[in-house]
Amino acid sequence: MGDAELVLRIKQGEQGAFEDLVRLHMKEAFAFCFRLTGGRADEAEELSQDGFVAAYRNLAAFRGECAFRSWLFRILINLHRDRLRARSRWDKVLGAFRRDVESRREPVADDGGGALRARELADVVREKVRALPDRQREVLTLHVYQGLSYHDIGLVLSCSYDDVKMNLSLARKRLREALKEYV
Amino acid sequence: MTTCTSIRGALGEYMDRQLDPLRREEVRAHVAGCEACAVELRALERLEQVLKSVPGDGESVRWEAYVSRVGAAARRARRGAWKVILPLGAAALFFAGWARWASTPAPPERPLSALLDEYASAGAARRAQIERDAGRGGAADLQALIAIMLDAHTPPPRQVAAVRILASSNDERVRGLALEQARAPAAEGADEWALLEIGAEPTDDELIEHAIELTKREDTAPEALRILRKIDRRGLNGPAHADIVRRVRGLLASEVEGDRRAGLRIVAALEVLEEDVIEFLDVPGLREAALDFLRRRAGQDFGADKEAWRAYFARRSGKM
Ligand SMILES: [Zn+2]
Repeated sequence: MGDAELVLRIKQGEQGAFEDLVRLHMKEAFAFCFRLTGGRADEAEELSQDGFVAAYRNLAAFRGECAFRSWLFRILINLHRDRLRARSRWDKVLGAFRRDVESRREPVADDGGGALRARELADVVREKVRALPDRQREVLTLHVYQGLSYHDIGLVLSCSYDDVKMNLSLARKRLREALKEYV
Repeated sequence: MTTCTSIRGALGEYMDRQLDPLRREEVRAHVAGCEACAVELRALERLEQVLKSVPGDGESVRWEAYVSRVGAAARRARRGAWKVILPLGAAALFFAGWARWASTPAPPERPLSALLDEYASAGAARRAQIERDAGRGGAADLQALIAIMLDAHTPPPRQVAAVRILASSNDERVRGLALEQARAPAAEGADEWALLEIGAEPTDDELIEHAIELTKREDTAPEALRILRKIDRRGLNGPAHADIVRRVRGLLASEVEGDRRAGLRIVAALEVLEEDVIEFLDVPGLREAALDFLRRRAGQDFGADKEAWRAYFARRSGKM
């Protein structure tokens, strides 16, 4: 059953139709949020769930002019941005303390198998992606991890092809610099 | 004519397969014959590989529980919680763009007290959402929240929730009121950390004051010490440092044993106050605690000999 039909059934009040729609998209929504939040599973779970609820509440606004998936991405991006904004400066201060403490932890010795290096690399990459400006992080995540074309990203973010291209290019430039030890 | 500059600008699109066939061939041909551009392309491809090598997650999610939670939340939302039609502040515009739809009638309001209780036990994301929603609830909701916050009979967790929500307000007066309430001595059993946290834009003074208070409690001391350490490092020899030292002196000189313990905790954590502690050897009522601290810190005992202590710590820090 396609998205359009499911959405119609939900609007008609059919029991369980919304759950079906969630099942269809939850893994991708979660994966996207996981990337967006810099690899925080708890946050990703909560964000993606809230995204579905927001989509449900605003389903009347969804007319099928684009894929449900793109619409959901857009909702998630807006939710995530709202959340970042809502975080007070205090959170940033606390975050700095935590990073400070974490950075002073003793590094564990490599077992030689490269597993540690891979884990460390994943952490570093997530951290650097998280540190990107919002728009760059969003474009990069949608393209690299969700596989959206520049054109589709433009639809999700309401911006032009050239904006997408520029932000992706800026994101890559930053990441190359930030990850130069690994690239 | 294809210049390197024009090709460089298109390498990302080339790698991402976004170019039309003509342009694609143009780039391919240039890169095949230009080492500099080829190097650039390989660098982009390596970055892409590294980014894609980072695994996602999903094993941790129990998907059926996930579905039922979302379903239940959606049904609750339909019945109406708080006064929100659009839960996404900045998203309102975009929804308007997707369709011009008439707004549904406002759902019945949930009692504020229930919302505050939910807030008290909610995770960070849900809290942020309630805070945002509250800001749009209008004057009546703010009045009600303020009334709850100021009511002495409000249970502490609910009061703290009200304070935190109001402290996130965009209205400066509302925020001021909440902060004022937060600085008042916390009600018995209230979550002091929550109160501290809402000092939305705390000055160093305020942070130091709160943090020092919290070093007196076993459970909050570690985080409070981290904060003090951070402030101290930032303001090395500055007013913050002087303020901390002054307050620590006060603590160490206190009649209350807990205060003295907190003072020494701070000194030990900050690792910069040995010299100050040496000075304490002159202060009556403080001498014993200082001596005890110095002995333990140094594994030596120079008694009341300030010069000897100073020389010892200078030697030690010189070696480090
Ligand atoms: Zn070239």
